[in-house]
Amino acid sequence: MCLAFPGRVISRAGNKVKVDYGSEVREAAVLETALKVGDYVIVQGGIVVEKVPKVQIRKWQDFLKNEYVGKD
Amino acid sequence: MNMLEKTNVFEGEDGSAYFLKYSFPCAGISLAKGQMNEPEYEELKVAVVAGKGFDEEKLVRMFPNATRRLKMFAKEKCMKWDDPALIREYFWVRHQQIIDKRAENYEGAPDVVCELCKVLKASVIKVSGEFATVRFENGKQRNVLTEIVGELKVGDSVMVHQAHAVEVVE
Repeated sequence: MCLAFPGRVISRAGNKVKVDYGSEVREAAVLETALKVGDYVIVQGGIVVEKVPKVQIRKWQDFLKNEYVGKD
Repeated sequence: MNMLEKTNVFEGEDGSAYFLKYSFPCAGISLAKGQMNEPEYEELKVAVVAGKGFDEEKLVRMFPNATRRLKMFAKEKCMKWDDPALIREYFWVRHQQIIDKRAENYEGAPDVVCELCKVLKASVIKVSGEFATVRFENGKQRNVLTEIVGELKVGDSVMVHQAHAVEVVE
């Protein structure tokens, strides 16, 4: 399950891309014509949802580790 | 007309089912954070697609921030936390203000996460099978899944959260 992590596009054929997450590779459908190999993307439900600028990748782990617990 | 002011739109709407429609799209984050496991994620997905409600205790564990904030908001407004009108105002307005301020759990969050987390109105510009392409008011486009909302047609206005069209609005 990689719903919340960006993966790297490793190949593209038409509107299908292969996205590498390190531990696994998943296929996803894409509509954006400019998307290319090397881009980072968020995939949910088998579709590419957003492209992620490389500079944001390193912030991801911190966000998912953020244990913010609010006070009532 | 301001949709938030309409009171009759929720007749027969189950509060926890309505909450789940809006919160399920970010269940991937709860999963990645260990607030739910994969079988629970699948269970949630079945419920949201069927338009069913869900156990409150479980929702509180799976979506700790959303439920906590919603309950505080409910106290403030003297409403029940699962009142659909409150849930709508929370997801359409409050939730976004927190993200825009990069407050609470959004502190230091990547911009793409923040964009995906916002619940925004968009119009459907293309429908292809189980997904649709929508255009937001700022002109940006996104591919979204239609499993929560059901069938869409070009021109529909929908509220979008993460990769999901959540509900059709006027």
